[in-house]
Amino acid sequence: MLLCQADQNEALEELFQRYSRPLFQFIYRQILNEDTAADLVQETFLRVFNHRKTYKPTARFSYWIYRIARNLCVDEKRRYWNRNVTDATSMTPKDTLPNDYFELQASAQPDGSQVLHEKEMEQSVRMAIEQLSEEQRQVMILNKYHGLHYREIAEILGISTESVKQRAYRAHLKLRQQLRHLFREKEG
Amino acid sequence: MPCTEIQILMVQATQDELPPSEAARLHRHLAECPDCRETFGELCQVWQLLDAWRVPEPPSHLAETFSSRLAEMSVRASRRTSWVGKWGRCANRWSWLRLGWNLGGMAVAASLALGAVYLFHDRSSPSGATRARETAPLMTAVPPDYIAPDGVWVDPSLVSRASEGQVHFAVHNFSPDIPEINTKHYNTGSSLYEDPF
Repeated sequence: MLLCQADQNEALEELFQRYSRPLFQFIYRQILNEDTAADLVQETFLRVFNHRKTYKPTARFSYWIYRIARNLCVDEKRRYWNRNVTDATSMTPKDTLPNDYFELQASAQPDGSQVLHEKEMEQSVRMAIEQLSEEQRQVMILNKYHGLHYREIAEILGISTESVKQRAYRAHLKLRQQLRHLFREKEG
Repeated sequence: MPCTEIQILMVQATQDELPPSEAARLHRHLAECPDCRETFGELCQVWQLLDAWRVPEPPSHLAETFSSRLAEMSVRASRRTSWVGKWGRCANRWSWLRLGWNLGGMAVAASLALGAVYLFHDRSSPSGATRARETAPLMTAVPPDYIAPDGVWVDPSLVSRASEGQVHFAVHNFSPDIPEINTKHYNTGSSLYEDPF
């Protein structure tokens, strides 16, 4: 990052190589759209480039970049809802499902039943996470899928570790409620 | 310890956030409480189920697209600091629409300025007699008793203007018989009088 501050574009490209994948996944899990997620990853790095002089080496670069990405996600969601007349039903199931889900369902073969089951499970998890509040979802995504500790999440979100703990706890209980049918199935 | 407090520890334990001292407390409670044991089992399963959500890989062209966008932005940033860039931005600002507005504004300002000059000039310009008096010193070459060709005596104080190598006089009200003011111009001719300019 210090090389990047010294106007070396190669350094930024190096950072892009290192962080673009986790950032893409982080953004995708919140936006649920590949194209938008790809755009926002680029936008995140362009913001890093534009604000490279304001970066202070005292803060970890990963916290900084996750915070930029998270702010972009919040903006994008706000724009999305404004565009879609703030109607909760405007995000159709087709939008929130994987592209191949419907095709898979239509052509469900006996040997594809396992795949279909996995897809259904994935869909349930995805929908359960969507049911969480924005704050709870961010904590869960960073904790579960990015392996960040409460302290690190607190740094990224700009809140206390205690708040992160509370959010994680409520999110976990809510997910348990939403996904209970899946592990009952599994046991059965 | 009440079960509600233990639930917080359970969540932290599933997320690998529980300090060792608290972990011992949790295990002691779980050994005694079958309900909490069941809950803990469910919470662990929830945590594992979350692995089912897989996300796609970023598009393969992402790095390439980013490199080109970065190059474009760097060029724009360097232009911003150079004179060429400054000129470019200036030129950009002077779009046709703005140019039209500016020209219109300038035309209005010029009209107002001209009007003001005209009014000022009209009010401050002296009357005919005063003007003649002011210009009289220039006509020192005209003798006081000059008789114009048609025999009218010319008072040099009434000389109103001079130009172009010849001296012109304007005689006002030269005939007492005519009530209205008359002006008659005489040309002395350059052979008789030199141009005072």
